[in-house]
Amino acid sequence: MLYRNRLLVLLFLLSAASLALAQKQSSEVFEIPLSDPNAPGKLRVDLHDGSITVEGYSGKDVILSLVTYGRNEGSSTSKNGLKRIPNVGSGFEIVEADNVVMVQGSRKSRMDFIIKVPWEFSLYLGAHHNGDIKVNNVKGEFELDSHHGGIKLTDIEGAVVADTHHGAIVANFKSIQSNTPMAFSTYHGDVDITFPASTNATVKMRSEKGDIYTDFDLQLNTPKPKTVPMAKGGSRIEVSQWIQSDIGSGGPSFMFTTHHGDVILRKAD
Amino acid sequence: MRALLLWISCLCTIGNCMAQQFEDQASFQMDVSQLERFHLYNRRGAVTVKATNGKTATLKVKRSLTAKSSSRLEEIKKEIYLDSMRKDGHLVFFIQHPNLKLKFDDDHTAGYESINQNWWNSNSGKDQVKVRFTITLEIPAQTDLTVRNHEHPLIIDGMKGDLKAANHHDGVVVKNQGGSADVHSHHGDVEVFYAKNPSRACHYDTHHGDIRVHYQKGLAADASMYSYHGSFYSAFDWSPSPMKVSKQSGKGAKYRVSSKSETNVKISSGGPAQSFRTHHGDIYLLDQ
Repeated sequence: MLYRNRLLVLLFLLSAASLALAQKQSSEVFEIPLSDPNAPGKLRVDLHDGSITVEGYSGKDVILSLVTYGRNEGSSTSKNGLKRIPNVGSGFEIVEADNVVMVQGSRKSRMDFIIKVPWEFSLYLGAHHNGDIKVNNVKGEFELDSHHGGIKLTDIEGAVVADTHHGAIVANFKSIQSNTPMAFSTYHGDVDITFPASTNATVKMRSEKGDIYTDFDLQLNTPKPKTVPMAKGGSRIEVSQWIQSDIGSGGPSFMFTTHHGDVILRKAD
Repeated sequence: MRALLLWISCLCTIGNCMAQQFEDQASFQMDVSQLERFHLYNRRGAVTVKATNGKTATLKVKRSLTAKSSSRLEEIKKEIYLDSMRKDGHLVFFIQHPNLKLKFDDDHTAGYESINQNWWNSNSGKDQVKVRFTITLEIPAQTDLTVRNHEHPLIIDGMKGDLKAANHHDGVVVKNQGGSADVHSHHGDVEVFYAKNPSRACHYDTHHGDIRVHYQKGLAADASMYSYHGSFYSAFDWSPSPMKVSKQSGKGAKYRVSSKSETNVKISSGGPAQSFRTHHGDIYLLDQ
């Protein structure tokens, strides 16, 4: 336990130092008109290093604020009497065609995207390093893919497929899209999802190292252990590690999985 | 094991003794005062350019050839040599070689095209040929000059016209440059010393090396720098320039903005564009 605490302190110090060195350099705002402002739109963001925050609003345009950072080049500002110029160049591209807005971030240095979209908008958001994904107050279909970051969704409506590896997934649904499957998977974090009390779904939940909590009334229909005959004789007993249950009257499949975290399924007040 | 090594060593010695070598020298003089541009395209061997006064350029070349047999050596003496041509006021010196062809385009840019894979030194068992041209060029300083090499050093001193210089496996050194410069390498460093600060746009790039440009005091320029792995240093005070964003529509897109990955800064109040690009190296803006 002592070793673990020391490791955590070390990790904290390293990340704090990294944050201090990767200082925010500049920001710029782009207003992106849609081809048809009265039709549904879609936003696709691919970002290698940085975070993505999307917020629904009552306007018609997509408004993108871009924050760029200097590369981590150490803290020195000089070398042999020369002044260091921070290597802050950040290539990116924003394209709108047929109501699809595509944003491609730099692979060279960190940049964060803070994006306002019309309240009803579908999202594909992909991030990797420093890659928290946050969505607030948007209605649509969401495909969210992070790796080193968490995924946090607040006051959303629609359907979600969310996947990360090193972060938690926290979502709070105002309403869900009917008859649409959803999936939430991570490895090192919790999966903490709040659905409306009236939700009807068939849920599959699994955590290798953690626990599963819910305040929905579950009607468990987890498959019973199965005996499978082996080709060379004998038999193997298959025990499903999934907890499977209907909530409400059952419905589309909702899957929740983590390895080191807990699965928490909440019923909205 | 020792006996084996001795045997291999003896074989190598015998092989070297059998190789036939040839060296000769030539010199060319020409009036370049009316030229649009002077071009020199070497492939392998050091190239040294020295600026002079007057109207006449002198090009001295030492040709070194090695072949496996005397008969093959006699063949390549006829096949491989320094040649020249004129086109649209451009005088072009280049290497004639059975496996190389210089492609000189209408926009007066040029490069070698290989005719087969053994395009320079042929080291196959049947045809061991080694070629080297060591060239010195003395040329009036005001001449606009393009000089390219592929392997071995390239040094240019004292030119005052428009200079385009490129090398591939080695670096480029430009000294006492009085005009604009476009200097390129791939595996080497780029180093430029300005006798007076450039009044026109200049470009410096390499892939595996550093870029060091030495300016005179009082530099005023707009610098654009890119390095994927490296850092940027300046002897001059600088201030950041706004991100350059291009906006265009088309190809099905109603809206398109993009920005390249350069870092843009202003030196003093800004001035001629100075663009620097490397991948693995650092970039230095230095004074002298």
